Amino acid sequence: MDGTPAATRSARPSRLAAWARQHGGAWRTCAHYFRRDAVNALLTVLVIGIALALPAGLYVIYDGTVSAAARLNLAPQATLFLRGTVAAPEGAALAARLRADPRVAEAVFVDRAAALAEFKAGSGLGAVLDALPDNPLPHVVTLTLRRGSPAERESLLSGLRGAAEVAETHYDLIWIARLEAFSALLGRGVSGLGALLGLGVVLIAGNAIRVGIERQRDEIEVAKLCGATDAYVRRPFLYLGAAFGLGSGLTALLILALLFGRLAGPLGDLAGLYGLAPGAIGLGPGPGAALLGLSLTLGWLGGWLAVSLHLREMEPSAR
Amino acid sequence: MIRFDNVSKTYAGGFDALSDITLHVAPGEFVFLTGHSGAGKSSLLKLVALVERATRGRLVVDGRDLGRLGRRGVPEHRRQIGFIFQDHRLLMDRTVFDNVALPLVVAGHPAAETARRVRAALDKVGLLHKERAAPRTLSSGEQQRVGIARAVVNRPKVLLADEPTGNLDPALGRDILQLFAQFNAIGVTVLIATHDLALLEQVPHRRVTLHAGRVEAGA
Repeated sequence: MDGTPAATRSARPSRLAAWARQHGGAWRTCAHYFRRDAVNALLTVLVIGIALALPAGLYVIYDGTVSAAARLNLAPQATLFLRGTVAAPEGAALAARLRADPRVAEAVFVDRAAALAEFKAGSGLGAVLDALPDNPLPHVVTLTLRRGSPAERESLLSGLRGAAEVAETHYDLIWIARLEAFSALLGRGVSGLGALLGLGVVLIAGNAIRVGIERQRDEIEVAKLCGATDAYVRRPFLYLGAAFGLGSGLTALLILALLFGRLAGPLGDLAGLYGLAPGAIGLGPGPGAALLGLSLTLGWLGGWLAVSLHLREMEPSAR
Repeated sequence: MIRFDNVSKTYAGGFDALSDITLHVAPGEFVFLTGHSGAGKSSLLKLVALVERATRGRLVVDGRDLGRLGRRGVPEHRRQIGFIFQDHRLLMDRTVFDNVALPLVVAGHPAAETARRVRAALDKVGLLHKERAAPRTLSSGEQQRVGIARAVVNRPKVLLADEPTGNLDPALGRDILQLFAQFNAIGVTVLIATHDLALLEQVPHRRVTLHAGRVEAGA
């Protein structure tokens, strides 16, 4: 009261300006809540950070495996041994026909004479081979298949087995199928675990905020008696949830950086054994930003959940 | 300003706190609400501040029919009303200034205007020099005056006080009453629930006596 009669009350503050000020105030209130219970808040951030680091770390491993598999020459290969009656031009024509097939990446005709010469040079068995009356090797077509579905590959190969020129097909596709099944499993596992731990994050953040709400009960009731809206009461807790989420996302990134930093040496050695350049492993900027965005959203959601469930109980009349 | 027409309040469990209250308080009036504890004084004030809702009857405050006011209208209604509690309900982890500023902050007033009004309200209750103090460090009379400053900082049309002198010695009680008289003098409608008979003897204002949830005298 500054001596002005109640009848000449000043105009209410403009809506937009009031809204902006209330958001600023909500951040201050949020910071106040955080400081008031800093140890618990930091523990919550740490717990959520660890929970997020687990699926994110698995994702890094999954992504690394998939990209390493792509860099290795993992395209499935098959070898077609042609019948002895097939002449070199016919074999070359078969290879040319196969090259036109969309399921085939590359088809190379290997002439039996050239193969024998190569074998002599490479094996050191030149004298033994010279003693043979005939060249024992058949013409060969080596096939590199495109990475399609296992069913596609199977249909191509069974077609070739029935072809007139082909005596025998030799291929080993089962390990490719195994690798693909394994990465699919890992991918599913990562998304399943991610979803589960995401739910866990919402609940952990929600529970921490519920505790915060209980501690601020007096303040909430008094604010409501002074004319605070539900939105006003809700806002600092939503911000608190978002802050928990963001802090946890940063913690998870830090954990991953430390973890993959320790793994960089052994992983480089492993990559070297497969003839791969030791690429950087870890969450890139894109997935890293996605993790932060996701953790922020999950934390906010936890805050929203806690406030929605408890706001009604916070009416001043409830005591 | 405040009109009760046949208002009743029954709590869950069937306890009738107020029965068939008909009462009219004119704008700018100063009314004491008396009666034994449990007579329904607090319940009546809570209905006016929309802390509780009437079970039956019609209650109009400042032209607003509270029975027709939805949940979203409650905050705006409370901003027109200053409420003073016996236990003053200050926030102990905030400064005196922040406590008094709360009604302006929740309404989103600019910081400069808030500061000016908070200081004016603190000046009025004689505690301007304590604005940075923690409420805990104040005497109970001072704490109650902070509670009053908070109730009036929004320039409400109606001041409600529930046993405002209940914890104070008579001299402090008189000071508090003086404050209410000053606000009343500038047009604020004042409704004070009290069973402090010494307080009632000092001023000739209208008295409404409640007994077992009914108006016994003064309507």
